[in-house]
Amino acid sequence: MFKNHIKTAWRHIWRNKIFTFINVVGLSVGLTSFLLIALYIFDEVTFDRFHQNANNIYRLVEHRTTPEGKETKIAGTGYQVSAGAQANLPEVKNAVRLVALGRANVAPSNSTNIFYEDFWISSPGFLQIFDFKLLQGNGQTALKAPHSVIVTEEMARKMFGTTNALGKSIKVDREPTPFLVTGVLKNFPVNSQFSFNLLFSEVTYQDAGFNTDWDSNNFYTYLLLDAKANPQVVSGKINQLVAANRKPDNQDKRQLTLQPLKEVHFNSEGIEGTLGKTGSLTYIYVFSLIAVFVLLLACINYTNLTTALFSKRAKEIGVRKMIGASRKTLANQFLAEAFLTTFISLVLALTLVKLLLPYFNGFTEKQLSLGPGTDYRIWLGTAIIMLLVGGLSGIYPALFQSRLNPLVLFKSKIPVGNDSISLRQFLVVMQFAVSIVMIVATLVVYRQIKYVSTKDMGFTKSQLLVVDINSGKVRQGAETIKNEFAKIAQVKGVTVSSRVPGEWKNLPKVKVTQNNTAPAADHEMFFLGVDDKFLPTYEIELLKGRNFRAGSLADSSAVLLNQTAAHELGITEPSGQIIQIPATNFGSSFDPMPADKPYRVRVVGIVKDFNFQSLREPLAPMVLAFHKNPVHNIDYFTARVSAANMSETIKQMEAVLHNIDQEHLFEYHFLDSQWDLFYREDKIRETIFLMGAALAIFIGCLGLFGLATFAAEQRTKEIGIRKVLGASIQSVVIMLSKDFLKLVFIAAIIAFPVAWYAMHQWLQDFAYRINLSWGIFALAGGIGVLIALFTVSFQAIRAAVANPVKSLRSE
Amino acid sequence: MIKIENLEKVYRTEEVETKALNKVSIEVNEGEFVAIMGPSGCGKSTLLNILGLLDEPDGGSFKFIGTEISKFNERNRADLRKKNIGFVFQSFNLIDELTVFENVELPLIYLGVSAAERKEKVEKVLEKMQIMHRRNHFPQQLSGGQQQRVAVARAVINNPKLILADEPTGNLDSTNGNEVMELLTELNEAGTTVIMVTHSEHDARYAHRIIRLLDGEVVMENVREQFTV
Ligand SMILES: Nc1ncnc2c1ncn2[C@@H]1O[C@H](COP(=O)(O)OP(=O)(O)O)[C@@H](O)[C@H]1O
Ligand SMILES: [Mg+2]
Repeated sequence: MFKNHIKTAWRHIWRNKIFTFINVVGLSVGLTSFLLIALYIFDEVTFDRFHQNANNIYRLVEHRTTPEGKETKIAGTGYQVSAGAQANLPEVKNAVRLVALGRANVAPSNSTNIFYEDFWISSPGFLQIFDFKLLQGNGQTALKAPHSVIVTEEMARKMFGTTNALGKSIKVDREPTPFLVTGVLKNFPVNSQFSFNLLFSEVTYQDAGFNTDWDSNNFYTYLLLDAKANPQVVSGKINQLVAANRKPDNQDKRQLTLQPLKEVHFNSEGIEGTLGKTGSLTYIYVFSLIAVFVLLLACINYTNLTTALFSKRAKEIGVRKMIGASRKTLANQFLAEAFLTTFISLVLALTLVKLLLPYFNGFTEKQLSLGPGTDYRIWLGTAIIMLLVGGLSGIYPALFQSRLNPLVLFKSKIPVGNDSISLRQFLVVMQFAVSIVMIVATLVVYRQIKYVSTKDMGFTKSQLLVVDINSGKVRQGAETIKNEFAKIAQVKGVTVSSRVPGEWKNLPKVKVTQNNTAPAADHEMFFLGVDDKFLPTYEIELLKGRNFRAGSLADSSAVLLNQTAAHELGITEPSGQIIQIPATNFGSSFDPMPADKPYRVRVVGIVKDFNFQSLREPLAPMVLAFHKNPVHNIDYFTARVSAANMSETIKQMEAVLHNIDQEHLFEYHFLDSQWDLFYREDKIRETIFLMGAALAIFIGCLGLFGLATFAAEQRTKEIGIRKVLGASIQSVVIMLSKDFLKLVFIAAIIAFPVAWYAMHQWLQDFAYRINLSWGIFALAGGIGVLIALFTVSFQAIRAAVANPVKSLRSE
Repeated sequence: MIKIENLEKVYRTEEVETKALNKVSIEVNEGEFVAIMGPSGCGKSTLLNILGLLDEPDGGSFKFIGTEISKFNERNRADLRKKNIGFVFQSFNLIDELTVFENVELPLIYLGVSAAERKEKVEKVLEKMQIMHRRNHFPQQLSGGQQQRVAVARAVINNPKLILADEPTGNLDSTNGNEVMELLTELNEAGTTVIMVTHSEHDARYAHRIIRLLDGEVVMENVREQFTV
């Protein structure tokens, strides 16, 4: 019987090529997107979970509350916290500390091939707690000895030309003694938060004073707890331990918590310094929704087309019933058809996934693969999905079509049943509603991104080349370098500053008090150290007062305010008003003014507001101090360059820097591309919505096309008679298209509020946002209608231009 | 074999109520060949459908091989049907997707007969219907006469006790029509009961007995000897 079902199903599939084609294409596309998304989600939810101990590893997170009540969370703590916990608490079976001590020039001892790398050091626990495979070396001991280093296979290949690097030696610019390679690490998996090239042994620096460090936030700390330990209890004990050892700290309230390793990837929002890529559960939800929707749309198509095709098959079904097929037999046959179709689609989908994976990986920045080596759960899921899709597609035909009395089926013009007509209409409406929501989402995201990337930000962000200051030598020689840069023909202006607008590192904030007010009236303001060329180079408008003066020492106690800051401080005319910044130091080494005294300055000018943060943030008050200030050192050159001959310009600038500091690495960015990074996630979102919309529309149209084909076929005779009676081609096309367009209109009415709500929520993220104008909705609806019209009219026109004599004879 | 008494069938649509059968009483014995005649719309097909257990009567009694079945549910009727009754239609009603062999085989599949036995039986009956050489053809590739022979082959494949034929020659020319009538006669002579609806007096002559219907009522029953021309 089973064989017979398959055989019959195959024949049926083969005979109804158009419908089969539509179904298979729809289901393949649905399954393909589903599989890709499933791979993505699987990779995301297994992030950091491949360690055998994953369930018992915790990251220490420090929560701080400043006296002003501001809360911060930091993924780092002092050396002794983990050392003490490991020594004193039986529940803590192992611990690992990691810290990056800046960057360093590293090279194989026998070579001048220098690499500029993050200088990570770690305690031996790293290879004991985590399951990172060593290709060479012993994980238990690799990081135990001073002057040991483990390298990844990729790094080994770069440095030594081979992964066979055990026992080789590496010199580091900061260390007289070379490091011995004690391990070669298999490259880090992509779904791990760790991904450095070299890891040096912490014990090398045991004399650096770590053993008194209970207070810093320098060390990333992970603890391996006993499986039976209660993390809450353990963190309580750790806090006690810390409280007993820390200097009485009257400034901040501090509290350590243990965050499960498995939660780091998705639950690290607001935790400073989280390593590796963090994931977004929202994405997972959006992705899952799209996958399920697209697949559902394809199933709907199947059901839709099958019920439409039903009247064509009624005779066959009637005959089968008459000669003895039971309802169950028929239901099984319909299911067999659905499963066979799904199976064919799945084979196609798997091929498609293979073809698309490289692009998908590029887009998601993952290294997903599908093959025999893929996790069995993926395959299991695929099998289940196939059964589900087959079942979902076939269940309605199986239940409904097998039920009818054979006599009813025999009437050559059987009614397909009012309920099934309205079901079909309902399904088409759903499909188009989903499509229209997606179109609206795409349009809104597109417009918003366009808006934020073209909005006037108060300065001109294009053609600004930012060069990092990476060494003291360069900082000292900044004046010379500026002059040399300025001599390059393509450079139109150069400035130095502590940070740049759109800063990718932290923009420091300072408290600002006015002489005449109580300290309670503090204002928090962003702080930027700039020179006299900053305003002209960035093309920021000076509204009132004066700019800094080149080389002026007196200007070290002058500041400019932006409009917002001036407004907050109630200053309308800059006239040397004194404001005061309490002692703060972000690492400045400005001699004449000690950093531990309040910094008293005079307001000499007001500049027009400019956006220095992502446009998700509203404008904020900012103090622009002279580059010679006790708060913050200069860290960047910014040059306004002309577009022509860019690579030559960059080469010349590099040469200038090289003259001052041989070892200095020339790091540069274009400011506008840096700004684009703020909206990178949104760009990805846009792409996702666009693809989701395309898929939904595509599958929806396939279904619509099928139904239109069917409707045209069903009404061949009617059309013939109408034409004989004098109906024009247009009137027939309109008659046939009208019904479908009505459905699209209903879909739009359902889709608009949903889309409005979702996109309204999303836009709330932005301080600067577009309006959800009716135009967007009209456009989305219009696109939906046009696409539907195009799809339907194709069949309608074909039916309308057919020779009526022929169509009448066919009855 | 069949005994119906005061059988009634009423079709109700929104406005009209049609009495398709009005107190019809008929008896058909095993081994008989009966023709049912009457003008269009008089209820012939309705009667045949009820006799074929495809439809339920609205009143009266219906005994099939001694069992009262007017109250049978759909499932039981279907079961009785597939074991005892074969159908032949004016429009052949072959399944286009299946070959000649597969069409004939289908009832056996639904009865759960093994593949080997199916093959043997189907080949035997195809041989008998002289259609064996077309076994792998699809219905559209055959002439009308050939299609009806396949339909007859399918109707008799599981040795039904009763064959119901609704205008079996209606779509055939006289030569092919006669051939089919010969086939039915042969089957009848081999012991199968045949009930046939026909418009053709010529075909009716093959039957032992003619039942004439008018507006849902039996108006005349006559045996072959009394046939009026
Ligand atoms: N499904 C139905 N619904 C309503 N009326 C029907 C239906 N089937 C048959 N009839 C009516 O019942 C009467 C008998 O029909 P039928 O048995 O098909 O006649 P015949 O086969 O003798 O031409 C006719 O008046 C016909 O219109
Ligand atoms: Mg009839």
